[in-house]
Amino acid sequence: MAAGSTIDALGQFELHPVLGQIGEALRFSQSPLFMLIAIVAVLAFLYLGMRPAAVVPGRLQAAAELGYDFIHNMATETIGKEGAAFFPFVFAIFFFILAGNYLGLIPYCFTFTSHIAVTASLAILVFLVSILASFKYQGVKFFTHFMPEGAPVFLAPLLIPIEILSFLSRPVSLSIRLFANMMAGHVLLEVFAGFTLMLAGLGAFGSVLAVAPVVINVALTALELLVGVLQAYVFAILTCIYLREAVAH
Amino acid sequence: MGAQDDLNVSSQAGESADSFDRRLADAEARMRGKSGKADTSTTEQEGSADYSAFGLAMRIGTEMVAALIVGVVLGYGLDRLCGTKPLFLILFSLVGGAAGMLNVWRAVKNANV
Repeated sequence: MAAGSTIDALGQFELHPVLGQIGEALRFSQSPLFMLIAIVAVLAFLYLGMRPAAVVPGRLQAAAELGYDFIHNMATETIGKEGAAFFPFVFAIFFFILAGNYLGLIPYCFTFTSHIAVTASLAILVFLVSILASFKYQGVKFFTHFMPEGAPVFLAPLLIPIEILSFLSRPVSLSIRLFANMMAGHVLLEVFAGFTLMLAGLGAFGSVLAVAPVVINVALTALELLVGVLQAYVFAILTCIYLREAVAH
Repeated sequence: MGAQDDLNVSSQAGESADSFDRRLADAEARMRGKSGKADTSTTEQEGSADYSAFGLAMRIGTEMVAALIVGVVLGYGLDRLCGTKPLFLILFSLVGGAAGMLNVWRAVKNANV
């Protein structure tokens, strides 16, 4: 790694086969491995948290209930009365992304949300679900949304392309936001860690200075904890907003 | 409130004053614990309001850029398809920029922060 004067900030995002020969044969890299770990972690969190089923919850149960309540309120308040039908979808998306973001902060773990292939797949899934929901709840009337109500007809050739582009930009902005935030955070962490190694190579004085990037990295890790939950929240709330527009009218 | 119900039931049951006092103290301790929890949940709600404002701030930039990217990619693709090199690229980057502005306007309009 960055033993000398270079910092290989993007090397951490490379995919390698894991689990020996089986992984080699299946092309099974860290990314799906950590997705599985994330799913197991979320399921374990909910199962172990809710197993006591106490009236006065313990810490883990309170956390599980808060998580459930938080997403349930978000889904029902944002989407409306049909929100309960989409609650499992929003819940799964939120906790999958949250687990992915937080797993990546553990040393030696891989952040699968830092790959645009993953975030784009999630965003396209949300996009397709919202389109299908639009057709189910509105039918062909869905297409009338591309012409703003009350706008003069002669502006239609300008307004309709703008509306269509605005609609098509949804999955793009969803995926870019999540992937860029996660990747930028991890590149920053790696760059400052690289500074530490470079300063430590300068002798005794450098070793003292090398403490500074470590301090910054501690602060950055705290920031990443905030960004991780915030990005999961933004992804989930935007999913809710798109679904609300799909089920409205 | 489960603890309050417990309290009413135990007072109506007419148990000895000593036992009642002990139960009252217990219930109060439990209520304090509960209200303490309620307090943290309200601060968490305020926190989540802050989160959504922060989240909105992070949304705006990508909303604007994403529509522009879609416009440029669409325009470039149409140009490749039709062989009209700069025409659709120019048209759709303008429309994409407009759509980006529309995205930002919609995000901010509904936010009401």
